[in-house]
Amino acid sequence: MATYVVRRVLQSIPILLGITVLTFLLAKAMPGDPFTMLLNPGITEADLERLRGIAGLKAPPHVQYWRWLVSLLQGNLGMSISFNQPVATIIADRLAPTVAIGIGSLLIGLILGVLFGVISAVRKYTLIDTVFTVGALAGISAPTFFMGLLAIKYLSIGLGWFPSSNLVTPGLNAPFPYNYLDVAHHLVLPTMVLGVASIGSMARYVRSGMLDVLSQDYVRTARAKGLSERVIVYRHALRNALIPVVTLLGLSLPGVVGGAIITEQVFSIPGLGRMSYLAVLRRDYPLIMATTVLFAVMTVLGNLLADLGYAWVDPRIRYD
Amino acid sequence: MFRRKPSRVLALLTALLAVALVVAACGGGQQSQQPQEPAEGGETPQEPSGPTQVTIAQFTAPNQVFHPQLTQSAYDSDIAGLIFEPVLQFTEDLAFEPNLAEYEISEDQLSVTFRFKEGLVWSDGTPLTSADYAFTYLNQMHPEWPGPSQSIVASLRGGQELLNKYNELRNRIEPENPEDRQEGVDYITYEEFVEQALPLYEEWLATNPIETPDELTAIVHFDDVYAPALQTFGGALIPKHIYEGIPVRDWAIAEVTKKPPVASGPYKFVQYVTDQFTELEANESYHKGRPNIDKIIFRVVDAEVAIGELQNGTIDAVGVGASQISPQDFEEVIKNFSHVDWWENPQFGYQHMFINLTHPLLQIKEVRQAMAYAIDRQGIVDRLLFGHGTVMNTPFLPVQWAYDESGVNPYPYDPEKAKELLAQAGFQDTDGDGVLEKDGQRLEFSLVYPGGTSNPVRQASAPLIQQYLGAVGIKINLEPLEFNTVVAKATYVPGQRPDYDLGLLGWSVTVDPDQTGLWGPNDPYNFTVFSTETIGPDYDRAMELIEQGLRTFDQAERTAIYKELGRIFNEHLPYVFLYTANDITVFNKRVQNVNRDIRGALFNVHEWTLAE
Repeated sequence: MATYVVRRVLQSIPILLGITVLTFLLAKAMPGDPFTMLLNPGITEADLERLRGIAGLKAPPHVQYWRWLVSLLQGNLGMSISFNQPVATIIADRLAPTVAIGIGSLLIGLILGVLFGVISAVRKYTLIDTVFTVGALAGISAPTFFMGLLAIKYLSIGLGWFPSSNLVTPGLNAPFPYNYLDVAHHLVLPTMVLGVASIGSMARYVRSGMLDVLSQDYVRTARAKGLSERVIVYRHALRNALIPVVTLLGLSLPGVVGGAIITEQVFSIPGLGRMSYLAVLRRDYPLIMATTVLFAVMTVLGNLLADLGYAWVDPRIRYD
Repeated sequence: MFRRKPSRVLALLTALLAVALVVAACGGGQQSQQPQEPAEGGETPQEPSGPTQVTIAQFTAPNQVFHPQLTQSAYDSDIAGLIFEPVLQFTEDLAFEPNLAEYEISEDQLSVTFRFKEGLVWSDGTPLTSADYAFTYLNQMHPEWPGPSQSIVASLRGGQELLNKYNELRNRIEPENPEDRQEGVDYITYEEFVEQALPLYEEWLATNPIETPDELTAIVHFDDVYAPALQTFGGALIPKHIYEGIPVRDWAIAEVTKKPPVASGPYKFVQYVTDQFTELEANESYHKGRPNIDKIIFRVVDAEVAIGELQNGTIDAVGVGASQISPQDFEEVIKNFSHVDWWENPQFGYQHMFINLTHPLLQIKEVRQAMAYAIDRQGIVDRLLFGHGTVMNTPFLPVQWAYDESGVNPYPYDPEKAKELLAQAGFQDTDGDGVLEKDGQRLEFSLVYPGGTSNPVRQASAPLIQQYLGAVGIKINLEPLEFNTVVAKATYVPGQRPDYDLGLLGWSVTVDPDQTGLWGPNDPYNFTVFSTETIGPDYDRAMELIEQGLRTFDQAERTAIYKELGRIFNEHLPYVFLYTANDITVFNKRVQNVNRDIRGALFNVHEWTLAE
């Protein structure tokens, strides 16, 4: 097992390097640079050249990449051109809200998705299965911005239960436990909207997994032994049907860190999704590179965890 | 074995839940710790009754560059404008009047003297003097000045010469692309450039381009008469005692730029919470008197959501500064709210369709004029802006004093006239496909414009323009692109033919009507390649007029110059000038005494009051 992990980690190094080279080339190939969009008649070509010099863009591309790589290995992600801040600070500022919303919505999707999926599978082709199937389709199809605006209209502006945007109440300098509660209060709507969006696909996944398991020989054996349907479904079938869900969890790791551009926009949440989108629009090369590395590492790590988790819960799988 | 396996699934899920809770708690902690820091060393403890506060919606987060000359986003400028007080301010007619200082233009018009009011202080009690003035402007000529327009400040005595020397040196920096290397050039690195440029800067400083004979007087010298001097050199100052020790190249990233420790304007900076809000509090030592409202909050909120919050009162103002309300939202929703006041003012900016003059067909003047007749620009204003705007015919806004519509062709919507002009130019539909052609060349062009979330009205105007031009036999292929890509395509590189046919973009405009930077032979923003080759001898006259307009302070003389210049643009149409939109400002009625004229709501923020 240990050798397997070491081998996988070593294998991922050239993959990650390749990703950074490709990203660098693609970022440079985009039309314009961080200063194209300034659009200010007071700026001359000489002004643009001066700004490019300060931003370190006046060196040959391979030199720029090499400088970036060396400073990355020294633990320095560089300076963002458009935000005028260290890249590490920008990411750190936005990581916690992103991860909180990511994991929260994943849990909502997981818990409700499993519940609805099991019910659908057990009562397949009944009215309730149809209702859940239609509901799942609706959940998958409804755009998150639409769900977000609906939630804001009715739950925030209409009923006034939740704040409509941001993470903290401006000007509310609350003492210790209340500031955390304030943030939690702000997190409810975005987490819910994002979670609801993922219930549908999770439910469909669990439903098909359950149906598959329920037709297995050992379930038939269990029924033949005269076990109650409840024990069969929840003790024998569900636990096996959940094995693929563990894999799914590992694969959602990059999504948790990657953030949700649209939800973050609608709720004005300082998240990584919106930030990385802005980085591309603004041609902020150091920020583009840093987010790519972050997402790539998470993807590689998520894949590895999924494989390991799979082996852990399913004894039929062994890595040597 | 069978039993143990499922418990592991549960274990994983439980672990995940635990992580989520911990992270959520950390997230909360990080975001909320900042508000706990006492502002300004605890000078202003919260009163039990709570301070008065006005919340203003900001649709896009600032970049946290709160420095009057370094901000590159209008959202940052709105905030920096409250923290840093300008030397001169506008009158209602957009003339300059004394604010921190009186000004006097010398007999020969080659220098401007500023005399500061006595007793001005920064919010920490340090006197605000002419030393801050000289420091603010002289540093903008530093070889590593991180802000955009050095060329404007180069009007200072010896400034252009200094810039030329910088450029000579800069041209010797090793090129990015190895293929651009030329034989016989002694290449230097960027670091060597800085090393060699610094002594030149020091030499220039020693020539005293800005003199400060005493603490209250600053005399600015120019090589040549520089008409926009009051606009360029009458802006907001930065505190010398704060920036002094920081290397100029780091100013944009300096902590003091992100969190300005002192203020000269009506409000002091308290905190910025990433992407969420900026909190400002009243400056007790503001020279016009302490503002009535204790706190101003600029809250980052999505435009759609802001309307709902305006409705339920959690936001007091929308459409302030750079965050513009869509006319449609205004007409269909906001106008019906009974608890708000609203007004509108012309915007300092306009939209245009720029034309690639190097395209052989678009180089024909009649084709461009036909397009101006064929597009129902008033229709665009009526339908897309719901009437909140004005059609443009020259690069001058109706609110600028340089604007003069006499002798200007208004190009009214007239498709018949457009067809006539095209027929005169020899275009005919010979193959009956609805598109005109001449010598086998079809009137078919691509129209590039920014898609995505940028300027919805401009985006909506593109298909209308396609329809209007299609009706007179000009086929338009719409090409919505990402903003930066459009600008990159449009940006002029001398000697290269631009890679577009037609495009839509907008300009923001300063109060001074100077056109420098937009039409010159080396200007990156000369999108259309406006030049003698493309429009003929009138180009040289236009360049002469732009130069003359800079060389006198006399407004009557300048008006005459810009009138002639406007006519040249109006005839040759390097742009089909489209429209200038109005800024609609909406305030909750509980905020009173808000300035309603063109200087903007924030102009008199210190005089705002709250209704009981």
